[in-house]
Amino acid sequence: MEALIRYLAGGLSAGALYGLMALGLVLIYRASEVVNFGHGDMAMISTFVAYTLLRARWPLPIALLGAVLFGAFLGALVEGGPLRLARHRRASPLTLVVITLGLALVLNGLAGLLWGHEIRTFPAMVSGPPLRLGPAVITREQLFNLTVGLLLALALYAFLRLTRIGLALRAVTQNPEVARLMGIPVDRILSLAWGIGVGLGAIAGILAAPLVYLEPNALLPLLIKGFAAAVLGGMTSLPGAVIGGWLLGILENLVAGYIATELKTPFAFALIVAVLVVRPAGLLGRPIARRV
Amino acid sequence: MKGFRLLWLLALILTACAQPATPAPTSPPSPTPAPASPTPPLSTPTPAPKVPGVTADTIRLGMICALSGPVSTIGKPLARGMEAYFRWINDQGGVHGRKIQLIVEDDQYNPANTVAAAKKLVEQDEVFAIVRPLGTATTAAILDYTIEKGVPVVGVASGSSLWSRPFKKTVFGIQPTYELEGRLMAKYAVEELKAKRIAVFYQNDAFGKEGAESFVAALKARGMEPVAMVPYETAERDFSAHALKLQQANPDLVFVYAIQVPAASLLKEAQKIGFRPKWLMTYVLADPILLTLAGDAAEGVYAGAWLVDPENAPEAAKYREVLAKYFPDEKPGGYSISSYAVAEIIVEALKRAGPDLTREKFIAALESLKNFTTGLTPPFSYSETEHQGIKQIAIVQVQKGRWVPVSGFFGE
Repeated sequence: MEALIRYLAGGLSAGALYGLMALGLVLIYRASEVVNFGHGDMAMISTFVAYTLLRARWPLPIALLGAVLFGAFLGALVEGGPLRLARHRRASPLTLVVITLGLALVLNGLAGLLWGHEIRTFPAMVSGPPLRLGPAVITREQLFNLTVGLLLALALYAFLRLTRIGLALRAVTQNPEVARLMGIPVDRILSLAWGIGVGLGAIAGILAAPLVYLEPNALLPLLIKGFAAAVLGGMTSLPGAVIGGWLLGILENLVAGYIATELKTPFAFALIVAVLVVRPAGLLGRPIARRV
Repeated sequence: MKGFRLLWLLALILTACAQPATPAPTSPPSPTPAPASPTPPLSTPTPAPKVPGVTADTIRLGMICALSGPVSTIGKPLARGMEAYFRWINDQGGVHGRKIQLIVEDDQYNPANTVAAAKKLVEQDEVFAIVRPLGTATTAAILDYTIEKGVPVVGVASGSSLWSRPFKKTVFGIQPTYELEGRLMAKYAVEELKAKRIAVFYQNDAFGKEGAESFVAALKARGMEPVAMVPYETAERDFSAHALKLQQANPDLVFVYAIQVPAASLLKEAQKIGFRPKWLMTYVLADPILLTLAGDAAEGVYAGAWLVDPENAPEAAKYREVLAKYFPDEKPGGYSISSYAVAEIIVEALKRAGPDLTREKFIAALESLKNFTTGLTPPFSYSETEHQGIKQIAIVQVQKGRWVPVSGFFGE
């Protein structure tokens, strides 16, 4: 029982990071119909920015805030630059996806040039002995990641539901043409969605880096699992992304704990395939109706 | 993708195993006709057969390792250790009047690149030998090619048994095989560390399995069973479940056959959950990099070593001096000293092979090394039927953030 709770806690904590990646991906996908393959590398670059600022002896909160803002700026820049130019030339969504893939490779190479491929340590946000809550034992890092993931998801939800900009964003995701006719600045809103999305990715990267170390390819597994969580949750549903992340994290840990550690990732993905066969739109997703 | 890679590796191993047990080209390589040869042999009456890579004043050697990409943390010091010693020898006048020229190719630890690099070194640069190629899958990919071309491959930077079994006339291992290390580690765990409940954490591939399986076999020979076997996939990044699973089995010692990041992550996760067994790790991990990555979670860890302590051993004083002279920003460490030691062995063999250097004489000279050591390694021997290399290890331990020797070299 004690072991089960600990596997669940570990799974939820890892899942919170998958969920953050997934949230960004889903937000961007819903706004612009682009699956952002550059998400992991944009998060990685932002994490390197945090690393550099910390090395330059910036205080931790300011360095992290700076890195997240950098990520947001990078996201807005990618949308406002290459993607918008291509979209205004009537590029298909697939073309835009390939552009993000190209950007991913460019950013990856750039990071290798700027920071090298040495594996670097990244300071943990919290440390100390594990916390005991009755039978449950949870490490401080797990609790922290879980809390941050949850708070950010709630904050995003509140932003989309309760603010005028959030309303505009939802309008754009539902029908960009109508939104434009209603006087909503669609391009600015798209940049905003990309900024928030990549900013969330940057936070996920910063939280993951103490665990996985930092080098240009360190966040690749996180990106893949973020995709998986997003697809599992439905790709169009923000709560789905968060829940998808948690489910994936828990599944992985249960498989590792009770079946076989080497099957951790393969088994979890097999289950995702099974879910998608039964529910092609994911757990909480609605199929996107073709816009004509 | 991972499954793909595994399959591919399997195919490699199969092809490596499938080739005849004694490829031994006893009258080796008809020297590859070199069209770009600056000395047209037609004019001279009875030309001495040209030896690739050897001129009156140089010996050209090729090295293949990862200088960029994730494994460059190993590849760079590996290349520098070798380069440093050759430069020092050249500054002393070289070997039999010839300077050693080392051409280092970057393969990014990708076997496809290794093949291309080997072809460039052999066909374009015409190297005399390929020295200390880094990695198991990478070197396995060029093995057949180098054997076919008769190019000696010396001091592979991998402990796979592939290099020594089946016997290959032109291929020389150097470091203890993972299989041998597994047996020696089991002996140390049981006899010296008095472990009663032993768990094993290992990489789920040819490298991890060779070490882990031989360790477990040696335990069984002593009437013991491991209390847990915890493998991980090479792409895995989150080790909290692995640490927890090990802790649940309540071992007093965990044997670790892994590479740096997984090993360091495991140590950190174990520290977070208050899991404190004795840790016994493969020599692959006995480098300051593990200490950088794991921090104080590495305190007390035991590991194997097949070389003397690079930072403090008096036998390594000259190594530290030479390394500091040619690469002032390279700190002494397990990887650079290992290549430096191989460079010393190569130079010894080149000296013994005499002034009329050929590949056959070089191989014969290596095979003449008996109970040989330059002081950096335990004594070892090659023979005409056995090219395995070193068969002893020592144990080192992390004490106050440094690797400190806690045993002398021992064998079976």
